[in-house]
Amino acid sequence: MSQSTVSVKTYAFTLIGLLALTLLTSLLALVDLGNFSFIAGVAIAAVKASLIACFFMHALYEMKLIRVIMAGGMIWFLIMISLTLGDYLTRGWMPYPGK
Amino acid sequence: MATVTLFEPQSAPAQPRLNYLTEKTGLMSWLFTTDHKRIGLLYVFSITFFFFFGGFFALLMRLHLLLPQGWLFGHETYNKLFTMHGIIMVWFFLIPSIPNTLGNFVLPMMIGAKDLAFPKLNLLSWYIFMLGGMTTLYALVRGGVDTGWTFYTPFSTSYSTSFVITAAVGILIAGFSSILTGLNFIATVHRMRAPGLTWFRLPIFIWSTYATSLILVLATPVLAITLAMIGIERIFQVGIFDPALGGDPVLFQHMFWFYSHPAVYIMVLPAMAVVSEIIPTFSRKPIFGYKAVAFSSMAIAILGFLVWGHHMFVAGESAYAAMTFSFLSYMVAIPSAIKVFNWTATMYRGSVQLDTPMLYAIGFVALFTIGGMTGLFLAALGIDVHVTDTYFVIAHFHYIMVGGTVMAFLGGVHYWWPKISGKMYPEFLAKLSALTVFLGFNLTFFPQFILGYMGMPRRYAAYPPEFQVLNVLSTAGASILGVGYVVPLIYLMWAWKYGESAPDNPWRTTGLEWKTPSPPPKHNFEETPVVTWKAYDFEAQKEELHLG
Repeated sequence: MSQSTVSVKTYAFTLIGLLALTLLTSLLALVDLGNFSFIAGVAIAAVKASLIACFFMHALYEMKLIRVIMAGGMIWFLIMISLTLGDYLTRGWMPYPGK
Repeated sequence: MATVTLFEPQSAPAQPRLNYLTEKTGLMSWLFTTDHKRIGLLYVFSITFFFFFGGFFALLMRLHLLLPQGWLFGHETYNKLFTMHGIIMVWFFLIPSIPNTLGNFVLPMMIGAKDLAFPKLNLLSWYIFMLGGMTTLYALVRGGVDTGWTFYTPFSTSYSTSFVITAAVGILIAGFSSILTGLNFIATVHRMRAPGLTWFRLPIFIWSTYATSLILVLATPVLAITLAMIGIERIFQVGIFDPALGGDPVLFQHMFWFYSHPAVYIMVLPAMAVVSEIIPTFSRKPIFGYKAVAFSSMAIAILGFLVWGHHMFVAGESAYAAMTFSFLSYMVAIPSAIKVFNWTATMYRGSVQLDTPMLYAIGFVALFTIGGMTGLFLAALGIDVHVTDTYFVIAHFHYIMVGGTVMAFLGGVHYWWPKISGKMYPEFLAKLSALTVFLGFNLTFFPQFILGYMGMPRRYAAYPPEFQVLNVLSTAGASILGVGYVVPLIYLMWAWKYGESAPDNPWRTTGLEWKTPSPPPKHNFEETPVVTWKAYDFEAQKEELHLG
């Protein structure tokens, strides 16, 4: 198993990046961007999650098996989101009888 | 082609030798042990306690339902009884039942390892489990929970005045125990297999336990998040599930069942693992279609994550999502059927011996088949609308969870009992108990299929008089089933002290766990085994096993 040491500087920059993105999310709540608000919010959250996975969870430095397992977790999360959204987004498709 | 004989397989020990039970004694040696075998036993004691607790609630409910109007409790108490029965049985018995007890005990031995990859984490997992269990019991002592084990919103978040958060916290804590155990098993199977033990030489038990561990690791965090959200909404009034606050109650069901449907496979895959060991042993044949059985475990684990929406056909789910989930639910039947056909084919033209573990295994196959087939009824949209939330559903999942998992658990306990305790149990009494459990189980739950089809709803404390005969039959069955569960507890405790000494390999079978003394030494093997044979290769080990 690889045991790369990650420098304190990298951790510090990651932390600053996360805090900045949190601030950005908060500021986004003050601006009405219509449907884009949701997209921007999710995009920022995805960048934050990636930073945590890559640097705090060492995904960049770990062996392939660990990365495969982490990717598996991500795929599972997407399964949950996509099938759940599949329900919500198709609820209006079926016309009510007689209408 | 076995090249290593570690111990004489048939000889009972001539003089007492140190083993994992005698190496250290005293309460502290158990409470601070990191030996996977002792931790497995700690789990056995804990889950047996929870099982009889949950079983007692079930018996009280069945007694109450002897009369149409009920006679023992008020309706609120009845609600709390079925809730606590469900919570305790699902999270504190069924989910840890096989992986944490038998899995803990035999998994390292089956792969020729001295222990699990993270022994201290294993002990921590037991402490976390006990903390979760005690927290949930505290909720019970304070007055119980009345939401059903499913915690459906908005009742659980807005209206229930019972101890929802305490119970949810207990379950959340126990979830961390599941995750740690799953991680430990995955790391152990990847990193600690004996030399020569390639993936396709692994016993099927390992494949199924590995598949179970993947589900534990991937699904349990979602349950933790969902329960945390209930707490957040209940305490801080944040709108997540409550429509009045801008939330959606069906979202709770999506998240809850994303964990809880795979949880059914957490319960049944280890049962399949046990049965896949017992049937080849008592048929004296390698398992039929090894790779198909191994891959079907993985397929069940993966497909099991895609079907949760079938719990919500009548909950406002879109028709298109319902059709998709219905189709995906049918898909799970394929790997399940592969297993059933392959177990049957393993027995075909085998030298079948009807010892106690085999009786339980055959009982499992029969009951799992009924449970699985009725699952297909429920996956069909039209039938589900008719029988949803009726006793048909209760009967179906008890055929899987009790008829399947509990039968296999008892089969596994009897199968590995000589290895665990170093003692044999009274065979005649054990066979009688296995038959009692099978008969009692069917008498309890088969009438419930008919009751459900006739329209009797689940979770009601009273029912119309025309349903009484079937309810009385079900209660009579529950009493017989109760006896069937108590008797093994008594004779196994007796056997622990007074039973005949067990040889190292009483069933003359092939797994590595049988090539070490009964009970095993602390580190399982005195020298690391080198594996040169396939799993269940009776032919290669014919002479060593005295199979003539």
